[in-house]
Amino acid sequence: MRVLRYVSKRLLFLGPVLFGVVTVVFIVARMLPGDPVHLLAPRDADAQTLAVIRTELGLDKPILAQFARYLTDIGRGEFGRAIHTGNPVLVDIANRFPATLELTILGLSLCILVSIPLGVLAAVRRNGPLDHVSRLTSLLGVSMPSFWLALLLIYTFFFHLDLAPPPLGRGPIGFDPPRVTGMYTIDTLLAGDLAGFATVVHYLLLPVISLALINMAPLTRLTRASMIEVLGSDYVRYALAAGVPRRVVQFRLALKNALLAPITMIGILVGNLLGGAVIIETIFAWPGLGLWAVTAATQSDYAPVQAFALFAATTKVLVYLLTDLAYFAIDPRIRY
Amino acid sequence: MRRYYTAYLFRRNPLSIVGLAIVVLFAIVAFAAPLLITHDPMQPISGNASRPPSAAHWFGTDGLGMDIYSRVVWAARIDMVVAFASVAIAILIGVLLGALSGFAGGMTDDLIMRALDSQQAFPSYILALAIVAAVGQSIPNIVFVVAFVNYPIYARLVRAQMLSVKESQYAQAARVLGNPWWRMVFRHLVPNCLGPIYVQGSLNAGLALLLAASLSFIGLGVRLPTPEWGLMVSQGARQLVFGEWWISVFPGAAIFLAVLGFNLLGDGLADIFDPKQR
Repeated sequence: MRVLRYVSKRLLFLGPVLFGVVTVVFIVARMLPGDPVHLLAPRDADAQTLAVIRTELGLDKPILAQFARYLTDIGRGEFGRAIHTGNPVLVDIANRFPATLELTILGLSLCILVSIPLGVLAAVRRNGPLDHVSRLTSLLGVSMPSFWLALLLIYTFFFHLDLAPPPLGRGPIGFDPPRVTGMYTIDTLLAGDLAGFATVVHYLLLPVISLALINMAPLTRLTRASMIEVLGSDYVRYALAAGVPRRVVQFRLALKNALLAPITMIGILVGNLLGGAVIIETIFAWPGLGLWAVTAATQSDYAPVQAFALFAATTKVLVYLLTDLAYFAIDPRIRY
Repeated sequence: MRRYYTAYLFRRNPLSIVGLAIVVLFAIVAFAAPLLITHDPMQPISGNASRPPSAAHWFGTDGLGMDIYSRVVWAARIDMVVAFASVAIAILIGVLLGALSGFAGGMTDDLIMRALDSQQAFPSYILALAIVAAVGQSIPNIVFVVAFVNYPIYARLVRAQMLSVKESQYAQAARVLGNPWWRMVFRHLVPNCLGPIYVQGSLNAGLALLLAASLSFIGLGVRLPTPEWGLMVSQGARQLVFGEWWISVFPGAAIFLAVLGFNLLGDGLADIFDPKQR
């Protein structure tokens, strides 16, 4: 019952925030120094085309009427057309989202699989060699421009060591596994195409590692700090004094509580994952949503940029909500 | 007394000295750029494209035949100014809105806070990208966009401080003495809300630099031939695949070092201004 009340309260708050998000996108789109028609029309359109687009879009109406129309359009799932692909925005998103999803899920999973054990071990053997290495790399990691890191990886692993394929998307030219989910790893496996699966993994290697590395520093840092705090707490000292074996105390009793803070951090990382994906996709010519939005943005093709920003914000809001709910489920001390 | 204490803390955290040194070094490079460059940073030298580092071109030349060393040095002016200016503007907007929000309370507070919520619902990089795509790319626009994306942090910090400061006795004294609200807020209250702003400012300068460079990297920031580190890295991105590493590596290293400097300095300032984190 309590849970239900909490969840419904949070869902109720979701409405105003999403309304705010839509308003921000609307305002930004109207912040243009010139005429929004110029952004939505092809660059070489003549005056008559512009006028047609203007009435079509309702841009000759007062601003509030425009906003109302914008809201109804979004409600109906009408996000306009991406000029650079010629498709309706939603079609492009549906086509391209699996590529981004596959990349970000794998990148984040790798990040978690490395950061959390690293942070925990660094805390357990505080001031040991592993701790120093992890602290140094975290420090350097937060200052490293992600695009530069990805390029250094390409230079090392593609150009010098020849271990990775060139940064040219999801596979060799013409490589196109039969589409089921749109995620190549799953689709090749479903088709029983093991060679294809190997190719897919090969092409995923560097983008996934880059995405994992750029998210690692904050998660490792926080896990370490959280574990150190828990290891210094009274109940851990009591358990040690009572003769519970050190391993059991560290990895059974302390670890559970130490992982609460990193869960929040993972939520934050997931919420901002699309931001990082924009850069990684641009570098690796990865045909996902990020590259789509960047291509649109550099060609004054504004409908995809709007839709992408809305999509990213909605994702972030929902992920934060889920993180809070997860917290609620995990930590019995939390009462709302 | 206070000064010795600060010096002591700086010594306790020697890395913050390194951070300060790096930031100062970059500031000097930016100021002294005309004296430090060896070539015109915006002038291609014909027949001299994509040369590796040599005695004549210390960091090599880029695909257009421009001297990378001179461009990296010159770009310090743009990148450091963008970082400083955007943080300054973000602090200005953030302090104004935060102070107003915290002091006024009620509807004004609600309205401002909900606006901040909506804005912070966007991943900051994507919001910046969307705004730049709308307002167009120029250096002043980049500065404003980076400032716009970052000001909510300051607004929240100042609002939180204001909520406690406005209940203090000296605030009541100032009110009883008949000060108009604006003088109370900006003369007496705001100066006492600024502590956490300095720490955040330094940490944020690194983020601001990264954000601006990332925008230029994807082609939504500064335009050629203006030297800017992010843009220079992107110029070399395609050639890196063929082993021409120097075009991207040197400007990227400059970003990395500058951001590292701001972060180390920010960590040190956090130690000094925020005893709880020690």
